[in-house]
Amino acid sequence: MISLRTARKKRRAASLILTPLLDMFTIILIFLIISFNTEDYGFTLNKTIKPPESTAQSIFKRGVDVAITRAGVDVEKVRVLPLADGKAAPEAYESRLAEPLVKRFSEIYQERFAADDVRPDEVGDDEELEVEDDAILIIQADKDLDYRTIHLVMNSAREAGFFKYRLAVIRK
Amino acid sequence: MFDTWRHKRTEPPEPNLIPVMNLMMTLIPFLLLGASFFHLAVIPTSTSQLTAHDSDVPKTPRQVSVSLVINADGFNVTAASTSLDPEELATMATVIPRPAGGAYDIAALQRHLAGIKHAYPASNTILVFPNDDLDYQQLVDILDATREEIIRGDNGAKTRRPLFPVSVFNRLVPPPPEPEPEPAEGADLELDGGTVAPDGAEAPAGEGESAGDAAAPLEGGTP
Repeated sequence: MISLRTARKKRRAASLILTPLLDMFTIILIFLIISFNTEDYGFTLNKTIKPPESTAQSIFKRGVDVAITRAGVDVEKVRVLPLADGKAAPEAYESRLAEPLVKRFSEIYQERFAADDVRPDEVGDDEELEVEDDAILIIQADKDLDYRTIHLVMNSAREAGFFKYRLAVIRK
Repeated sequence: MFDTWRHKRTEPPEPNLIPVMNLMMTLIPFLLLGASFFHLAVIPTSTSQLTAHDSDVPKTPRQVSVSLVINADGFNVTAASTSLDPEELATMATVIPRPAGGAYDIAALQRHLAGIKHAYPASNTILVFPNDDLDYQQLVDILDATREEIIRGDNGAKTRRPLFPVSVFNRLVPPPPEPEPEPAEGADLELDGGTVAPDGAEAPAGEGESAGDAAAPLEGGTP
């Protein structure tokens, strides 16, 4: 015969306490909502790059994505100029131009920005120079790279018509 | 026995948390995908821009543009203006040496630039001439120091005071080789390009004429 105490025990069995779990999930949810990034800048950080840290606070603006890794220079995720441990060929440094980069940047410039633009060398004495504001390069580069390589990329872009750059950094 | 029965009847019903848990389990992976665990920012910069005509720099009497040459052995700061006297500009020029094997004295550079900014608050352009071997991180640190100074208040609050937020990159072309012993015409340094207006709110002019300015010409012209 089953006693009354045993019967009571049977009735109370198998009750899972979910409240602490729910508390934990709520905290995680709040943290993730705060760090959720709704903006899409068309920019993805290259996984092999450790960008420098900076106190800069300027926000992103859409531009042509250029990633300078130790293995090469990628323009919009396509390898354009191979590098050997972050260094280009010596002749590129001598001329301060990398022909493959100039070619690719020129293609992009002609394709997207050149329609309403006037090249500086085409400006007459009485004309105002107007450079398309959207012709911006977003440069992500490894923090250990030397300026020589970064300048090579910037100078090649300048040759193609890009004069504005945004250096991607990690906010301190 | 009746006590137990009465207690069971009066006990409030336990809320069913399972749907809430389901919602959380759906939301968390979705938010994880879009979460950013570090925050990216950008430093706006530009390079000098070649123009076919003279720079239309506004004649601003209380405005200077600063040139910062970053050498391996330190900083060389000069200032230029369309309207200030060379003597006055010369007071703003300085050399901040880098200790052998040490780091750049970025704090001293920032103090000096803050002094110039204090004297000429409308100034906002700095021309940067980094040396080729400079690390990218070092360059960014220097740009941070030239762009703004961060002042901590008594209550620990940070205040950002802009210094020279418009950074224009340039490069010094190495001087040409020594001329032959016999005097040759045109041995003076010449500009490698036309007149250049930097991309930014102001377009400084007359940089090449500033006191103590870099001895070598600019690549792509003079800003």
